[in-house]
Order: sequence, then C-alpha cells, then structure tokens
Amino acid sequence: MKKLLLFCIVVLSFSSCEKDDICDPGQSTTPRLLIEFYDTNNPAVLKNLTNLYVIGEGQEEALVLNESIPIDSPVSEQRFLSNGNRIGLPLNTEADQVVYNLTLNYNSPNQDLIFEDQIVINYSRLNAYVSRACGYKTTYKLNPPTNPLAPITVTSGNVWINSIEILQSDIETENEIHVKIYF
Amino acid sequence: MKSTLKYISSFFLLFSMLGWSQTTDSLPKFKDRYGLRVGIDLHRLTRSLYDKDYQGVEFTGDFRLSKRYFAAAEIGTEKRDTREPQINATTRGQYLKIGFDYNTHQNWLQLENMVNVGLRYGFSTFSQTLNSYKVYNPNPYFGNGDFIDVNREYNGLTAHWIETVAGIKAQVFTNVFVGFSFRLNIMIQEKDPSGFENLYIPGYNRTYNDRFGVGFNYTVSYFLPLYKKDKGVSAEKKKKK
Repeated sequence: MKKLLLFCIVVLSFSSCEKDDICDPGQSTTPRLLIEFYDTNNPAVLKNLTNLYVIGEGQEEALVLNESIPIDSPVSEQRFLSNGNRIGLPLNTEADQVVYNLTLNYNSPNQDLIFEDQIVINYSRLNAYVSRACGYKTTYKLNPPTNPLAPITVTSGNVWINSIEILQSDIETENEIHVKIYF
Repeated sequence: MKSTLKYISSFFLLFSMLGWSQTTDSLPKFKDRYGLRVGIDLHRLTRSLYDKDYQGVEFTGDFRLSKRYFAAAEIGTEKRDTREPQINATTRGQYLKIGFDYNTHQNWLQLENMVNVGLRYGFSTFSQTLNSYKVYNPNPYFGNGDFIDVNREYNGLTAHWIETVAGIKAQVFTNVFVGFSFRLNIMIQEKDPSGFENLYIPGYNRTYNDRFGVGFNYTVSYFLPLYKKDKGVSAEKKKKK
C-alpha cells in the first residue's frame, strides 16, 4: 500500500511538472517603452489622442495600438489608431536606436489637420535570464544626458509634440510609465 | 510516449522474472546470504546510445546489513543537452548517492528477491554551459531575434538532495539480479550559476520550478556472497534479548 502510494506520487509528479514548459504571458519579459500623453496647457492633466497612427521607420506595417478590435473586423484599420492617452512602443532588441513616425488625426479628410512628427529613441540594452520557458529578456536604458545621442528627440515634423519628459530611463518592466509627452 | 511504453513492458518482464526465479533453487539449510551486490544502470547506458543529447553511466552497489536493511549507493557521470524553444545549454558532472534500502518482500525459503523502499542522500558537482539563447519578446514589431550564441561555461556548481526510492530486484540467474527503481527527489540546496539557473543536475535530472524532481534506473547487478547468517528472524530475536 505504501509502495502504491509512492508510485502514485511519482506518476503524479511526472504529469504535473510540465507546466513550466510554456512562457507564462503574465511573466515580466521584454518591456515596451510606455508613454503617457498630457496637455501642454494643463501639464497635470492627461489628454486623449485623436487617431494617433504610429509606424516604425522602414517598417511596412503600422504598430497595433488598439488590440480590442479583431483583425478580421470590417473596421480593422482602427487597430492601428489610438484615441487613448497611453501607448507602448516596442524597442528593437537587436539595435540601440528606433525611429518612429507619430501621426495625429491620421484618417482626417482635412489634410491640414494631419500632423506628423518623427521621434528618435536612443538607448543601451541588456539581456537577462528569465526562465527555462521564456529564455532571456531584453531591458533597456535610455541614453543619459551626457551622451551626444539624446535619449528621445523630435527630429522632423515638430508640429504637434510640444515637449518630452523622461520619468524612468531604466526600461525594465511595464509596471510604470517611462515617458510623458505634452501636446 | 515511446519510452513510457518501454518502461511498462520492462515492468511486466520483471514481474514474470520474479515468478520464474522463485522456482530455481532449493537448499536444505535455510541461511541468509550476506554480501556485496554491484551493478550498472542499463537505462542510462542504452539512452546514451539512442539519445544524442545524453551521455551517462551509473554504477550501483548495495551491501546487506541485516535481514531487511541494505546499505546502498549509486555513483555516476552524466552529460545532458537541454534544448528548449528559447534556450540551449549543456550540463556535465558527477554524482554520488548514499543511503539504504528496506526489503518489504517476504521471500520463500532461499529466495533473495527484493521489493524495496529506501532513502538516499544525493550530491552532485557539475558545470553548465549556456550554448545559446533567444530573447523572449511579446511585441516583436522589429522582428523576433534569432538564437544568440554565447558558449559561456559556469563552473563549480553543486547540489544536495534527498531521494525516496521504490523498486524491485529479482534474481534471474545465480547471483545475477535485474531490477528497477523510481525516485522522487527533494532538493535541499543547490548553487545556481549567477544570472542563470540549473536546468539539469546530474543524478537529480531535470529541475522544475518547485523543489521536486524524478528519477529512474534499470539495473543489472551481480551479487558477491561473503558470508551466511541464520535466517534473520532468529537473528533479530537474539538481538532483542
């Protein structure tokens, strides 16, 4: 009876121990750069974007900002537009710089209302072990002010972004906002 | 799945051996034989042939202390490649397990079969080489990176654990035993490489998130008889006096 019990324990441990083979989506892995948008005229107040469209320089497809809309929806192009006050920008795990074009009022019929700014983000990277299933993650550190390559700058357009404030230059988790943009 | 089937079929084979061996010998005087039994783990040996990610050998030994108690030990060396979707590492090292087995089986007359439970203290020294890894990126907008080659070796790793053992041994020819055992391992302490973790420990096998691991061996062993004693029952009675 004792042996049978032990045998059961062994069999159970065989069957239940495979759970750590898949990387848990709740696990903190490679983070995005989290940006919150504020009102220039009232810097303490969050301001909603209107149809912000974001595309990485050299990328063919825009960044999905609204994942609540299904990919086969008749308004699936809405997936690429944000009307909230917070976005997450993926950084490149294999390069120290990304360039994004941020367009406000992207789908406006009035060309005069479409504002496009380009921002450049410079950072350094570090790869750290997470787990057997997830492997490694990349964490980032925005360039310090002493570096000739500024951490975040508006390089062209400069039509709607008023100023950029860095809250957290260590991009290690998605639990906090890293950057504030005033417009 | 294939290997599970292998285990099950060898399980039945062993039980048939157990029945068969009970008819082999009959001596007029019933004395228990005491001695040293040495063996080799066929499971690790054959796996080294068919599994390109594994190389290992384990020698086993036990020495009969009393009617039911046996001092037992295993010593082995292993090399194991861990290939996960995100990580590739190689572990190399040696291990030693010492403890005892308790034979729960009531043998007929001169038979020496065992249905045993036991405990071991396990110790391993090993190294782990991180061959390559992938970065896990849930938002791969700029593409999912490929494996990054590292080839970094972490030396001087150690682990201590306790094993609970359940197994059987059957005498198939004179002094030749075949048996297997299942082990449930409980980690006491392990030294992880800094900024990494032990994915495999020689002797302990694959590590999991919790403190438990599992093991198995399938041994063929030879018994070297050294001396004889009266049937343990009377010997035990004498002790009690």
